[in-house]
Amino acid sequence: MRKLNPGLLMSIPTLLFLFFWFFFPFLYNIYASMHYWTLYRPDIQFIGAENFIEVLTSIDFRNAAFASFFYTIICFAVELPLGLGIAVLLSREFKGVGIARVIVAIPILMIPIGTSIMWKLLTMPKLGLLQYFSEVLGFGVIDFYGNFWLASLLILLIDAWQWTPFFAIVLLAALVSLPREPYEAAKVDGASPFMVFTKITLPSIQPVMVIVSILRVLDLLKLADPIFVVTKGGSGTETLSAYIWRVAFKPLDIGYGGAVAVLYWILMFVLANILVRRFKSVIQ
Amino acid sequence: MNKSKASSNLIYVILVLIVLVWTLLPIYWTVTAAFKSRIEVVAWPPTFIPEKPTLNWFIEVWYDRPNINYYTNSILAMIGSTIIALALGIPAAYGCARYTFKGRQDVLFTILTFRFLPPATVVMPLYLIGRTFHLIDTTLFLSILYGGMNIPIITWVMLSYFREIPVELEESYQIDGYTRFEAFRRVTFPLARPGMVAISMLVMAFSFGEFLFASILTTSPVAKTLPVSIAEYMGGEWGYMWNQMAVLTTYGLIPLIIIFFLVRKNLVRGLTFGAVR
Repeated sequence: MRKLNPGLLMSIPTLLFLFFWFFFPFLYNIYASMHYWTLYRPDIQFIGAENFIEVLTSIDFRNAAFASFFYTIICFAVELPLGLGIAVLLSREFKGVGIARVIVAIPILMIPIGTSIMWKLLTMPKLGLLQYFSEVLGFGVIDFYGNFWLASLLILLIDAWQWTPFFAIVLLAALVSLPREPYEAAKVDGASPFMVFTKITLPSIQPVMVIVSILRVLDLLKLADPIFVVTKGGSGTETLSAYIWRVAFKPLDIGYGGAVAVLYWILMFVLANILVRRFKSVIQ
Repeated sequence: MNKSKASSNLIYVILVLIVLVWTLLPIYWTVTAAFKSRIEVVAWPPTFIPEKPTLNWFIEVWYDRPNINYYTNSILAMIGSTIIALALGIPAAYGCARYTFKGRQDVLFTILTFRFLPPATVVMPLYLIGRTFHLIDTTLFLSILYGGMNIPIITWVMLSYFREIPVELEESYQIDGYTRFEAFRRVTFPLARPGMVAISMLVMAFSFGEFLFASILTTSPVAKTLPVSIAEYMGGEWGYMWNQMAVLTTYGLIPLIIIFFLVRKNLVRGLTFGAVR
């Protein structure tokens, strides 16, 4: 018998585990998606591609796909620069920087559902602190719960509040572990702070930035928690994850939900592969 | 020169203060809501400092619903999933870092791309599978799934750590008569520990706060978790029970803050994903 390479041997349990728990359900979904199948009725009926046609022609599905991508783009566009800015700010040494670094990390530790609910408390009309500020400043009531753009702003606020710190602490860790020599050389050469930042700092933390960005983008595409509790999918804020929840799990419609899940799964798989392979050289 | 330096310092201080206020305001609001009365929490205009602070809710949440069970379940699922993710993620990372074999790249990228998986797409089949294996409403099921979701990130991070630790270090130990495993335990593992600790903390935070799987795959105090319980105080005949939700969110922050303080020293070295050279 040929001996297995020990490296492969060590990876096989991990692969099997992942395939069993996360790929097998996908195959199950493919099977389910081709059937008329709800948990209320005992009979399962083969209907071919009908579920898929229904999903692809549904306006709700397209809206949800749009919402997922829209939130991914706006949240990422806000969180990365902001996180980098905070990291640069806190990479300086000053009195109390230690405690500031700790405080900035706290939002990551909050239970996301709790965070969303507390933001709801902050923004409910005639109840929330932000509404109070707005009234004092003369803007009146902000309609966070009836208007797509303001509802999206609220989701952006919640996500940015909780996850900008993720960028901040990771990039901060990268910044403070950079070697000092290039900076001293740049100082001798009389380079401007801006030049130093773009020519030395950014290139050296780029790999970390890429990794943390990929992690964040993939998580953003799964965004669901704030939608569940804050807008409940109203005003066009329903993302793909929230959509599956509504059409599949609540009515226990395994067939239709399966079709949505298969399409969503493929979409994410393709995106993840593009991202990971595109930045392969940076990551390794 | 001095004047511009002073003013740039002032801008700097103001920016830091803005960041801190922005971060702390929602946390402050959560904690103070936990101390307010049912009336005061919805008062208009809102009160900044609780007028008659009460500890009532901090005690009541342990009696009105089985929150003590939900809390324990969350902590157990957090520990269980972290152990599973480390136990499966580290060997794969080590194997791929130390040995070359055909298809190694594919193995790695296959593991890494599992990070894309949206829980919503697999939760229904998992519900049916769980029903078959009697795993519905068990902490074990949650630990397995949370662990699985976090294997990619652990493998990813540990891989870059193991690569940075020269293999010669291990070999020198093996020459001294230690087995490969012993060499790993005595040399590589301690060197990679900051990374492992830092990433475990993130994994713990992810697992502790997970909502979607828990809300569907757990149904009773046997396995239901804290985030699900928090969401259940929303709506219903009593409307939004802000105080209870605020108290439970505050309670939920405590274990993670403790862990955060314990591992603080490892974070700077650990959170760079081994990608700063």
